[in-house]
Amino acid sequence: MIAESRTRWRAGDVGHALNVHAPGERLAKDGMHDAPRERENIWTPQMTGLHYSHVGIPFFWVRIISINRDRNRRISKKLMGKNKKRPVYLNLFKIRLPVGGILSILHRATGAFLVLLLPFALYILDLSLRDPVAFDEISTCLMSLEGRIALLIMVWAFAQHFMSGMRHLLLDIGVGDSKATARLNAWLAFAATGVVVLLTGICLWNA
Amino acid sequence: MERLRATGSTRAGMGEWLWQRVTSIYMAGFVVYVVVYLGLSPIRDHAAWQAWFAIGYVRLAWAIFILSILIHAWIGMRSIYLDYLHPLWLRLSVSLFTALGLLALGLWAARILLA
Repeated sequence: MIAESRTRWRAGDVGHALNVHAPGERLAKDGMHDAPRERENIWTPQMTGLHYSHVGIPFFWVRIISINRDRNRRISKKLMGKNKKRPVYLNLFKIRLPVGGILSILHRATGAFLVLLLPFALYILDLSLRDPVAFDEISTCLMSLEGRIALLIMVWAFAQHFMSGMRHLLLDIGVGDSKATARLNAWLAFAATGVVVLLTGICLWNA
Repeated sequence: MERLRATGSTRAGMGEWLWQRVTSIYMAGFVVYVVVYLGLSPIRDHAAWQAWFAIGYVRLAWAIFILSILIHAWIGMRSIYLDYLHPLWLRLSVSLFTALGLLALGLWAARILLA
């Protein structure tokens, strides 16, 4: 049982899926599944509590119809009631994502962050190519303490995006997408990012 | 099969998917190459920086790189918007803003590289 739950897929092992159904949420499929006994025999004379010889007598039909209606309500309550009260976890902080899901979210977040950096990067490229004085200013600015910290944050965002992107590419061609390795290589992506940031930090410290 | 084809789901998004991969592979190779190259022969002054950019294939490689960034950014941002921005007016206006912004960046990059 333990071994099985360890290797079982969870939503977000490969990518993040925000339409995951929360634990304990009853899907319509489950509801249909656990009520076949009630659903299959739609109606029997025994259910009315009357002797079968009374069923054909119109006088008792009102009672039979009301019994049927109560029973239908009970079934639909059983099927739908739990779905109505189900917890809807749209709160991102209440969804516990596995490491692959966190990596996937970070891929998006860092991607959007890098897009926001694009105009500044292009501005620096333009200025540094045009103006020798600006080139020196930019180099001293980037090598100041604040500049190094900013550079390290940008390198982190890029490395994070790069490593999770590499993982996506490998998953696409079927490398490491098995149950056992999907989480492992998500951790590996984090580790590789950490190594890149560490090396960059050492270089920036010494430069 | 007929029904699938009728709803158009058969190859929807396949082009975007492929472009995202192609551009990512080019950018990854380019970035690794540039980091290794600049690591081995660092550029210390403006003259060397300009001289490096004066080389034709370097300029071409940068042009393809920036174009790849813009394509990659557009597809990525678009898929983020499609997932998280639900009101149509918001989605359309933010997409339009992004598209115009990326287009402007592309024109700016073209001006830098053609100068």
